Amino acid sequence: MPILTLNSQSYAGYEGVANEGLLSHGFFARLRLNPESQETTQCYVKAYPATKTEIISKTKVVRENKSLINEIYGYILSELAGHPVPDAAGLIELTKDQLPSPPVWINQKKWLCWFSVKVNSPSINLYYARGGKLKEQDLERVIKELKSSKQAPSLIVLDEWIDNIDRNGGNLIRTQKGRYVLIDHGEIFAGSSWIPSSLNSTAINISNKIKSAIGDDICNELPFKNSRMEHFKEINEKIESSEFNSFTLWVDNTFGKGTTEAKQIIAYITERACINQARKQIGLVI
Amino acid sequence: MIGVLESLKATIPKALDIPFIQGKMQTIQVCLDPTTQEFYNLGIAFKSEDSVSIKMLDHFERIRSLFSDQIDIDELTLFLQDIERELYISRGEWPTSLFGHSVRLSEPRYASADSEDSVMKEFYESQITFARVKSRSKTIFRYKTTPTLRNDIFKYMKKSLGLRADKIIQETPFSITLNKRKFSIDIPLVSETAISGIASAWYANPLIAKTELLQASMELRVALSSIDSIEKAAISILRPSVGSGLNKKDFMKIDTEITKQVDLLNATGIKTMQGESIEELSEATSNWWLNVA
Repeated sequence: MPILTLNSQSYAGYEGVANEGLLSHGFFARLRLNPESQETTQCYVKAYPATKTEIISKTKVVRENKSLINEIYGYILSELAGHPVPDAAGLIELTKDQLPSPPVWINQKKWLCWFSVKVNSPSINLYYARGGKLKEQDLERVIKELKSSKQAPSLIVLDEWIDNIDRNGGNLIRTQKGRYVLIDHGEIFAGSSWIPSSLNSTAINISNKIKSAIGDDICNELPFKNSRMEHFKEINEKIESSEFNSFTLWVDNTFGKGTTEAKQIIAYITERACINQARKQIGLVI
Repeated sequence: MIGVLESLKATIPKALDIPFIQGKMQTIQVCLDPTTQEFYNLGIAFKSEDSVSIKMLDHFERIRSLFSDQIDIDELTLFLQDIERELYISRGEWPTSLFGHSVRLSEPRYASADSEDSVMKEFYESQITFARVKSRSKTIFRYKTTPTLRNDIFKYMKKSLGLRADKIIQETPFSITLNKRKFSIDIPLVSETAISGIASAWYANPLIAKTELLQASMELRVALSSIDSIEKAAISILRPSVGSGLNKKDFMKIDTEITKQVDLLNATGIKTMQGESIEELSEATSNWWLNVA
């Protein structure tokens, strides 16, 4: 599904609170996804701060927050890798009075937000916590299910490829046992404060949370490793196909067609999928 | 280099020139259990620049199954009507709580659609959990209140009669002096020579329907006896249809009661206009004001 872009006329109204993230402002709302129709759809809407402050070598650095662009790239790349994603997603520009209880960092009359169609299932965490807080025994059940999920190898591969450092049970929407719709890609590309020249195509994702949860005993089994290798091969095929244009189109939209930055991003995501890199990630002997 | 956010903003299409209404929506939360102080969303209210719409829970299947006989449904129906009436009267400024804090209104939130009706339709079921019906194949009886009926007839008349409607419509009660005492009477449509009331009898309980009709006719009689210039009086009555969702027995009971009240009204010289839908009744009311009053 292509990324949709909507103006504030598409916002029908607030519908309810969502689990609040630390770095964003999220809520449920009804949106008119087709501007020429009055039909509305339940969506999850999320606003991000415009900037992000980091301490690099003891120096305070303020950078543009890339969470919004990460959401776009993450949605496209997850779908490209064959994972279920919400039926539609994209950007919506909201006026300040449309945003419920806007945080102080929303300091302009209009604010660009990410949205995705609500998936009518709980996250795997919420499923096992039965709506409450996730306890240790609930977490054990989450891990047990992930270990037996057929989607697990390709999920690990996806997060290795897009360098997602924030995959967790809260953003795996459990539609059935072992089957998940993927949401929340604000922290791919090793975080939300990257710049194209800093992207490292050879860096191994040490924050692959699904891999850590499943554990080395399963991840190091040869069939599991082979399965991951197969998924990397499938991703390479996708990169070679015309489907990859959906990603390059948005790189062009955001960094300009043919610019150095656009080339750096495309090179980064292509190289991270290359077979030698994949073998290194998986730990297969070359 | 241009920031990424600026590039993303450039992808947003311009607004289309299409009519749509925008305003603020609030949920009406009612305390159903004073012991636990638990509040439930039992209504929604939408206020735009020039109109107000309120919709309270209009069927009680789910409340019955959750609370069984802990809650008297007839009493709750009347209470919800009181809330609705109170909000229509204080349409300019709504308080955050009503009826000694047993009712509260949520924070106002932005809402928009092509009409007020669409806004209400859109958010009614999503905000009021008790409004969701399990089986959609069966028609469920949903009561219709007098304040909502009045509001809908006002909207229709404003469209069909234009500026003349503004002179006739009385949004709030007005005062009248009788035997040197001031009384507040609530007649929705008034001119120098004519008055007309509006009453919904679209209820499952004949007693509630009777009360609504008696209330409206009493107000008309008070006005007729105290304002010399009034020559004509009428009342618009919404009565349930066969297909309203009432079972045969309940329908017969309510139909008998309404017919009895209508006969009494006609006998006292008050013209009755009856309709089985808001549209039908609005048209009849509008025509009476255009051609007769």
